[in-house]
Amino acid sequence: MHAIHPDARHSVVALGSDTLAVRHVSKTFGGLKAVSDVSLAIRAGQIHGLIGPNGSGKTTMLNLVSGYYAIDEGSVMLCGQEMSPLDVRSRARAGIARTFQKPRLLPSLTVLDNVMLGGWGGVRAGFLETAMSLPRPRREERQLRERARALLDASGLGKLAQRRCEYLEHAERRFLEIVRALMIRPKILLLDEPAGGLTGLEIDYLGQIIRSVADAGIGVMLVEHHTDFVFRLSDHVTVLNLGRTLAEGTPDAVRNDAEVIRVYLGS
Amino acid sequence: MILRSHQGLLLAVVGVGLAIAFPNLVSDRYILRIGEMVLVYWIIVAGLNLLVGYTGLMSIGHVGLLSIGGYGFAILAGKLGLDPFVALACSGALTAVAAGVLCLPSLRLPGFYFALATIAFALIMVELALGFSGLTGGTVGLSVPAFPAPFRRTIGEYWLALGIAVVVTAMTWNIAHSMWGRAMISVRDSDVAAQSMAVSIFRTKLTVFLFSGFCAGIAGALFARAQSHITPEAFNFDLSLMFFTAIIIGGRGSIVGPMLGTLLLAVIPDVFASMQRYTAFFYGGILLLVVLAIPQGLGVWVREHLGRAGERGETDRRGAEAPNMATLSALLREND
Repeated sequence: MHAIHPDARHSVVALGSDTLAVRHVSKTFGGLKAVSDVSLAIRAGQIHGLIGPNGSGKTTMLNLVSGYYAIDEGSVMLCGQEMSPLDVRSRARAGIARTFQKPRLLPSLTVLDNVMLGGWGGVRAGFLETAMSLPRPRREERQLRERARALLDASGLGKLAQRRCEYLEHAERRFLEIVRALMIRPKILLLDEPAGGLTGLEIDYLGQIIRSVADAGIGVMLVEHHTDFVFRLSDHVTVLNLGRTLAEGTPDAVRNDAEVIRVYLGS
Repeated sequence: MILRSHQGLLLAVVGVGLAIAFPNLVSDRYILRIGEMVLVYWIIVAGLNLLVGYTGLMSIGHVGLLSIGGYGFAILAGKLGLDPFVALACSGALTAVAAGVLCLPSLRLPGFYFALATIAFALIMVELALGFSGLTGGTVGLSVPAFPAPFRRTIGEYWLALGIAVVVTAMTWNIAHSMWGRAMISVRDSDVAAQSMAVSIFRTKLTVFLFSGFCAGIAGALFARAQSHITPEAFNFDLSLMFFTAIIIGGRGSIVGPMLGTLLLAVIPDVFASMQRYTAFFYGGILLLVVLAIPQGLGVWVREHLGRAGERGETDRRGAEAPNMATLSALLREND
């Protein structure tokens, strides 16, 4: 199978069953086209790699999908619902979870507390109810604690649950941020360079976590510089260059694409 | 977890025990009055603590809210002759509404400008109290009616303040250790993280501000009653500075710390009564000392040194382990 070049990419989008459908999205910063007419689609349980040189628009794409930037043109659909009018918070509620290049954790809280925060979207208990410690907030607290613990245990972070985040090591922070993102019960998980700074064994663990997430039917968008990791893990890869889609297709097709090798991978 | 909550319970029992024993330990009515003022100050600081220490909103103008509670109580219970307990509750509600009015235009301002807006609010309140002299008595002030027996005398007021202080402390404790507490800390530490976890920054700030306004109103009513006569001068800006300083020296994200801070700052001027002119000097000195020596604050310092090693990761240096893929997938599949 050959990589599909930009002029043919319309054929791979616009499927009704896509979890995430990004269509002809553009974003300009002061005259600079950071992202220009990019489309991609991620189905449930699919891992979609997004690679490209520095400044090619990968992180901008994540910010456009998660709502930190407003799109200038195009559309972002989650399970058929248009996301562009929604802010970050509403998109998180709708099921778009993400991590950051530099993990955004709450350093003074424990690992368990950080993960529990991810359950905020499901909390129904109001402030006064909680202040008076009525049954509903206590029940919600207990349920969230149980789920957070279970997720931490399954992700290999169980022993760290009571540790404060400021004392965590780099890889632990990255994994913790992913677990917290999973706590919001996402339909799609956006990962911004999750393998950055990890050792070989840690990258294996990361790959297992991402694979498990996809196995559960959650779509994954993986922005990453570590191209071997992306090709090994992804079902589908999009290569960006200067804000445009350079190529997309299966990992094998993209890896062997002459243009991708020339611009990005090298020989 | 169990250990920590037992520690907290033990601390609470010891604290309340001391507070109950206090009137029996002191014979001097003047010292009992100081104890009452510590409790009244704590009621407003407890609410402010959720705002400053947990949500990261710098309000330096809470004395403005205190004055609304105070005048509200004096007018409702005095001029209008309402039952003092009804007036007390109304003062809290009224002040919460005023806090909301203060919030709506200013809450979206970045930290420093928000702090300035609260200062401006406090200054305006003094001018309003002077200006509407028909209602507030202007510079002459208002006398504040007493609560009915058994809360009539100083000892009764002490018990009333203690009861309310215990309830308010329990409420802030519950909030701090709940999902609301976590959401508030996310607003304080990382608005990016807060948004990505679906936390509404505006709604969280507003809710906490309204609660702190309610506490300030209740404290204001008790404060006014303890003074028995109030003028705009009673709501000195130094008080606002004291509330804020108590939280800073107590430490962010702690309840015990600001409580100790309040005790310290409320008692010091009376210990050094002969040098009352230097009150602001002592506040400044203590603030400087804490900022330089233990910048994280009293409460956090205590927790760091008495807390369990596990939180610091010193006992067990094994980090991340291999994930269990089947379990993780199964957990996540429960989504639907």
